[in-house]
Amino acid sequence: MANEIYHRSNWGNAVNDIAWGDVYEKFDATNEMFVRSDNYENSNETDKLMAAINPKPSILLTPTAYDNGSLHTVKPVLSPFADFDFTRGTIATRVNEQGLIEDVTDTNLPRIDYTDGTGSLLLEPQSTNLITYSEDFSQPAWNKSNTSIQINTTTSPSGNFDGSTLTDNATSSIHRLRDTVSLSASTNYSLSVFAKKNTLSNIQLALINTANSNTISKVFDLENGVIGEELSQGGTTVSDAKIQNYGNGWFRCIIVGQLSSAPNQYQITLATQSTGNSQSVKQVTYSGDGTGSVFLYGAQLEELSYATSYIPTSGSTVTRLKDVCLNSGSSDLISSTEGVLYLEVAAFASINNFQSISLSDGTAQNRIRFTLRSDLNRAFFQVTDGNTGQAFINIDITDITDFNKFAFEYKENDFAAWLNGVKIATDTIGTVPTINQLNFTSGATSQNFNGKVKSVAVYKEALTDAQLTALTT
Amino acid sequence: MKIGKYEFKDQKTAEAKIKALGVDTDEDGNEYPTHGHAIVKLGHIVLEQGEYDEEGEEIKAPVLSNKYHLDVMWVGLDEHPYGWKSNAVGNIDGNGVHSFYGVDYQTNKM
Repeated sequence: MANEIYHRSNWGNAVNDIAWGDVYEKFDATNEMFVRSDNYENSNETDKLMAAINPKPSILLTPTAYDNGSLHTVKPVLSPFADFDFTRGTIATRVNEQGLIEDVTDTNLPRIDYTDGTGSLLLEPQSTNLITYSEDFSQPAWNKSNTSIQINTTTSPSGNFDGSTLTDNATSSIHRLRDTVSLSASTNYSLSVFAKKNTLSNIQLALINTANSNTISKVFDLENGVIGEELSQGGTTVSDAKIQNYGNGWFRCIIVGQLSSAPNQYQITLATQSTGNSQSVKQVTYSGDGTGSVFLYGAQLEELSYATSYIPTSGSTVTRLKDVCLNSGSSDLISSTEGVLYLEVAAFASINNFQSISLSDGTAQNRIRFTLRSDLNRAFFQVTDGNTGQAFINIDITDITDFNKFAFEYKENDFAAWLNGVKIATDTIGTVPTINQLNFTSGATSQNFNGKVKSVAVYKEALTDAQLTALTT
Repeated sequence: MKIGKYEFKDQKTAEAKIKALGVDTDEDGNEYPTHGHAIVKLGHIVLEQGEYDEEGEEIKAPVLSNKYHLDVMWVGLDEHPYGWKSNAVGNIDGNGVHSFYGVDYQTNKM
């Protein structure tokens, strides 16, 4: 972790101007803005100089530097800075530079997460892992049917030797681990587990009610890292599923959905193929030989429509509190006349969002906000002055869970929104509110932004169309 | 910060207590707390696990608490807010059925 904490005084000496967003400012005498080439770490020689962009951002968050209770911005370079106040209240995990899951042991330390391979600020909601033994599958709470479990048999995604082996027996039947829980009907849950192939290459992940009359489940192919067949019944289906590569053969397998009746069990079932499996009430069956096995680590069940960072448990359910990032900026750094808000962010879910990033006066009455909408793959920019709406521009996005580059230019009777190099829409009527704060909220303290952040920049001047195209391309 | 564990006679009573801590509705119609305390709704916690056969048929139903349970991490408070103390659960071993990640209940209990 220490390698990531670049103190402000060192940034000017950094060989590669370390940052994670596609846009960065070179801290030499020129202070020029660059668009980063594909290779972040060694890209200085080929980065594209954004020569056309003469105005420089007054606030720039990349983000690369932090301390307990504070997220540092790259700009302004001199005091007064524009650092964010950061709180969480519990510890949490992240994926570090080496791709390993580790504890972030300070309760108010921001997390730079490398799940996608490159770093980004991770801002998550409060969530509880409802599984009481997330790693120790040998506990009696995990009911074994025609399987046995050996713990501490392999190196897990944490880099520690704490992965487990689930092995079948010589029976033609269901080979599974099952645990019980008391959940609610018609409520979204995400169920996930880290798995790695051994002599078997497939697992089935299922959330079920009594007697399997209502089930959502998917089979996951751990050889090829792809999702296999769905084995759901009772009128409900998996609403989302993912298989995420954690390296060294490990994948995080995730299903999301809800049952029409109350779920009370979840299970991990061994499978011999990704599609066309034999089954009994939607549970995969096959003839075992006592040697078929996969490696497992870190099971998690959350009342959310997506899986969040891993929350280890050992005997109780465990809650990680939400990340709160507030109070950057000042009237010297944010113009109430004209400017640009630039964002390079990704949402956790493509639907049912309602989280914001804003320029405001600390209230919802005066603000310019970017908000992830509740409808599918959609966001909006909105301007409110004196609690009266001034401008509103919807943005439809191909996939809001990918990193996208947004910019919003504001000036009286001249508002425009940009997405990935394209001018989406304009609004030519409206005033600009008096604003002096940059927050990961809707303006005051509600609608905390949940997602991944690679860059946020605030300009005190309006930019030209060519400059905004370059900035967001 | 301090942690409190509570049980209420039903969900409605618990929800009313939570609401009394401060709730507002934004202009988009979303309700949000106006306080910084972290509340985890545990609901009717399982006192004894259910038992199920190989086909998932219930052999023995789980035994649930007849009380509605909450865990709260209080921010900036050293005492239970008014009306909460009488619902506090005492004599918990360890962290009980739920914990806040990396924050020991016994060390930080209200």
